[in-house]
Amino acid sequence: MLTLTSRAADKVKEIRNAEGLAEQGLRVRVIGGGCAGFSYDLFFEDETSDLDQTFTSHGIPIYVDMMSAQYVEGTEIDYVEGLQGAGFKFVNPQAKQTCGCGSSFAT
Amino acid sequence: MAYQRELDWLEHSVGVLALSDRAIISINGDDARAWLQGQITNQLEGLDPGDSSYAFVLTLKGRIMADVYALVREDDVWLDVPAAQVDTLLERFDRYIIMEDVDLVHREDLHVITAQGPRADEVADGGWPADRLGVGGRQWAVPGAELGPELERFTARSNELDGGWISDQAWNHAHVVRGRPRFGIDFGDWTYPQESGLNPVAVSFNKGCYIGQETVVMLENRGKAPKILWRWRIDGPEPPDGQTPIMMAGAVVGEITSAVRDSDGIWALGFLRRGHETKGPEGFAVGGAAARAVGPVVEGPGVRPPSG
Repeated sequence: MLTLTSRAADKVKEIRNAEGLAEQGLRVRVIGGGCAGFSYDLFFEDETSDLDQTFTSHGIPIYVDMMSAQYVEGTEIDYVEGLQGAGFKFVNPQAKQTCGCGSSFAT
Repeated sequence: MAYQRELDWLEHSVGVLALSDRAIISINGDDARAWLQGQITNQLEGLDPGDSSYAFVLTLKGRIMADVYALVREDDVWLDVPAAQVDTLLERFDRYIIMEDVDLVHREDLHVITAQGPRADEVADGGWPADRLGVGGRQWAVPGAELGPELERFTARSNELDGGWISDQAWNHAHVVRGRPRFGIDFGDWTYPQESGLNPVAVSFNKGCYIGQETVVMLENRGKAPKILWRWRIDGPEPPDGQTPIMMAGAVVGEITSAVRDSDGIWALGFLRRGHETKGPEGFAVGGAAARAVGPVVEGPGVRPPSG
């Protein structure tokens, strides 16, 4: 299960509308690399495959491939703004370690 | 010294040898380059087929798991790695392939031949740049059946260039004297990149994230390495063994990693603990013999040759 906070969902909808991507879903992917070993990848997509798990959070479809799903099960995606910048923040209960910028994690 | 002529070739013309301690892992797939970029310390972006990049593979904690040459080809990348680390690297790399289109294969059929010296590029066409001593170098990966004939051909060509075949003894010797540390001997998984002195040639500080990067950046910008690899001259009859302590005023301040005897004395590489490098070159002892700190590897000819 993957969820968005209401703040993150609003931001996703704002970006999606600005880019004219209408009803596309949010693809969440884990890729190898990054300071701590694994990195998150987020982008809009309108196609799914048999290898995907699909969730809906605040009306936004979320697609996660079966391999990435093992690493992000239970993750909540938030959107934070601060003096040092703004961005999506992954609160991943499986991450034992994250890098300073928060875009990378280790399990 | 029996192999002085070979050392002269490496310094002034070219020497050729097969590197039996290196192996090739091929990295194929649509995501190969992008994925590898997140695994190694140096830059892959902007490289064309025939280019190469010397780099480290680091542990999550930032220590050196292997040194590698990424050899860029038209459709894939070959990674020249320490032969002793092949299984460890395959296991490590496999762990970080999630859904990327990346295939790893240990190419046991391939062997590495290298030419080192200022005339290395004149030995043969093809191959990749691989400067292993700070004097210029090139290398090739050849099938096992062609290893003997190719080595003979390259050696014959290097003879024409006033060079020749290099023995293991001369190869080891040249690394120590030129101050070019070797993986598994002078540095390894007990070493951070900055401790090895090879960071100027193996680490990019503007390429973006790779595994172990955070420690490397913190050491570079905020901290100091606990120990640094230095070049040493030592008095005495025999080169000390690896791990022989370096003493100062009765206290251990470091340890030797490798040493060789030259016609005019002993050269060595060895770690000096942080804080002792400021006390001048004299006053050290190794195995009861006086020792002099020549300078850190990072400033030596094996890493920063005079030509640039």
